[in-house]
Amino acid sequence: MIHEQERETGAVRGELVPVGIFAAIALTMPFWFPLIGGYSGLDTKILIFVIFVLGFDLLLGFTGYLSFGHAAFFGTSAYTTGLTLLHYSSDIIPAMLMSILVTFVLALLIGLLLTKRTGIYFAILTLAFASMLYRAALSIFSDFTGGDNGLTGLPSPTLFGQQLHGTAVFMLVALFAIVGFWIALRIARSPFGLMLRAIKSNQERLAYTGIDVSLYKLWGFIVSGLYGGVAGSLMVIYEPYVATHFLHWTMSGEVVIMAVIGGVGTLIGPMIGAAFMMYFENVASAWIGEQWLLVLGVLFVLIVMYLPGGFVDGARRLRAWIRHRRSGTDAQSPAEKDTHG
Amino acid sequence: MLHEYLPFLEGFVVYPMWRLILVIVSLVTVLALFGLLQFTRFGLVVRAGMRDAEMLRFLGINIERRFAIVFGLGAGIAGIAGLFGGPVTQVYPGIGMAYLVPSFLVVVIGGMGSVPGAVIASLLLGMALAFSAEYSNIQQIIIYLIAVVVLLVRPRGLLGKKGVLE
Repeated sequence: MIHEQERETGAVRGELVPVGIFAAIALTMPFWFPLIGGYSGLDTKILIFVIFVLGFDLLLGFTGYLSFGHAAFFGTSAYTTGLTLLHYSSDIIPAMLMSILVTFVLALLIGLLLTKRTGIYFAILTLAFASMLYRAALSIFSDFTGGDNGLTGLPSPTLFGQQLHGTAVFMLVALFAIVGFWIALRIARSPFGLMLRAIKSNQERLAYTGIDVSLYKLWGFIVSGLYGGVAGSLMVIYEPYVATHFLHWTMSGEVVIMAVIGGVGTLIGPMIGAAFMMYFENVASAWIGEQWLLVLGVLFVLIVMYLPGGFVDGARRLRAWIRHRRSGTDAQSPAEKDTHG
Repeated sequence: MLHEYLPFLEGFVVYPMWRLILVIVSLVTVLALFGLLQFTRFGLVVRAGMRDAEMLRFLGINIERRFAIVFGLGAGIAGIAGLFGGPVTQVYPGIGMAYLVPSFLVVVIGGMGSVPGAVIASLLLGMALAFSAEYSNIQQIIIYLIAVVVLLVRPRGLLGKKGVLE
C-alpha cells in the first residue's frame, strides 16, 4: 500500500508536473508570445518543431544513434498529408492517419536495413536514404509531388466539416505536442526507455544478457520516426503547402542543431532548443539583420565547444554555481539530478 | 564539338588542357597523401591515433596536434579541389553544399580510414554519374542508391578498417 502510494506520488511529481507546466506554457503561448515579438503562427510552428525534435531526441539522446536523415519522415509525411488532402478529402483525419501509416512503413523499412549499423555508418545511411527520397521527389515522382515547386493548390484543411484556421490549428498542434511530450516522458521512464539508454551506454553487454538489441533499436527508430511524421503532417495542416525543403537534408541538420544546443538526452533541452532556433530564425534575425546566420553559426560552435550539454547543462552549471556562492566555501558537488524529466 | 567548325581536326581527339592538368593534379595529390599517411612516421602516428587515441596519449604523443594538422591538410586538399575544379563547374556561394553530401558518401562507401577506398569510391560514383547522364531521373538518385547497396552488402564500405568511427 505504501509502495503503491509512493509510486503514485512519484508518477505525479515525475510526469504530471512537467506535462502540466509544459501544457500551461504551450496553451498560453498565443497570449504572451506576441509580446516578445513573435508573429501569430510562429507559436504553432515552434510547437510543430517541438514534436519533431522530441522524436529526434528519443533516438539521439536515449538510444545514442545520430540520424542525419530525419527529414525523410518529416517530408514524406508532409507529402502524404498534402496528397491525401488534395486527392481524397480535405478532412485532416484520413490525411493524418495515412501519413502516420506511411511514416511507420518507411521507418520500419529503413530501420530493418539499419539496425546492425552503428556510428558514422548509421548517420550516413540515414542521410543517403533521406537524400534519395528528396531527389526522387524532385525527379521520379515529380508528377505527383509537383517537383521543384512543391505541392501547391491544397484545399484548406477541415476537421468535422469545420475549416481550420489560426487558433484552431494552434490548439490541435498544442494538443499533439502535449500528448507527444507526455508519451516521450512515459517512454523515458519506462522499461523500454531504460533499454534504449542501455543500448546507448553499452549495447554489446546488453546483447550478452540475452536481449534482442535490434528489436529495441528498431522500435526506438520507428517511434522516433513517427514523431517526425506527426510533425510533418501538422506542418502541412498549419500551412497547406508542401515545400521541397521539408525533405532536404538541411531540415535534418536543423533538427540536429536544435537538439544539440538544447541539450541532447534530456527532453526539456531539445524543446527549448527548438523554440530558441525558431525564435532566432524568425524574430531575432530581424534585429540582427542579414548576418544572423553567422551569429547562429558562432553560437552553435561556442555551445558545442564550451557547453556540450546545451542549455540544460548551462542551467545546471549556473544553479550549481549559485548554490556554491550561497554556501560560501562549503564546496559541494552538484547533486546528480535525473534529467530525463 | 570542335570538329564541326574545324573539319581538319577530324581524327584528332580534342581535350581541354585544363582537364588534363586536373587529372595530373588529382593524381599527384592522392599519391602524395597516400605516401604521407602510409610511409612516413607522421602517417604512422596518425593511423595509430585513429585506432586508439588513448593509447597514444599514454605513450606521450601529442595526438591532438597531429589531428589538427590532418584537419588542416584535409581543408587544404578541399581547397586544391576548389581551385582546380572551379573552372570546370559553376562557382556560386553555396557550391560547397552541393559537394558536401557526395563527399561524405565517397568516404563512407570507400570505407573510413582508407585512402585507396576513397579513390575507388569516388571513381565509382563519378562513373555512375557520368554514365547515367542519359537518364536524368536515375542520375538524381544513383549515388545514394550505390551508397545504400554498398553499405548494406559491406557494412564498413569497400576497404573500411575495423573500429574506425563506428
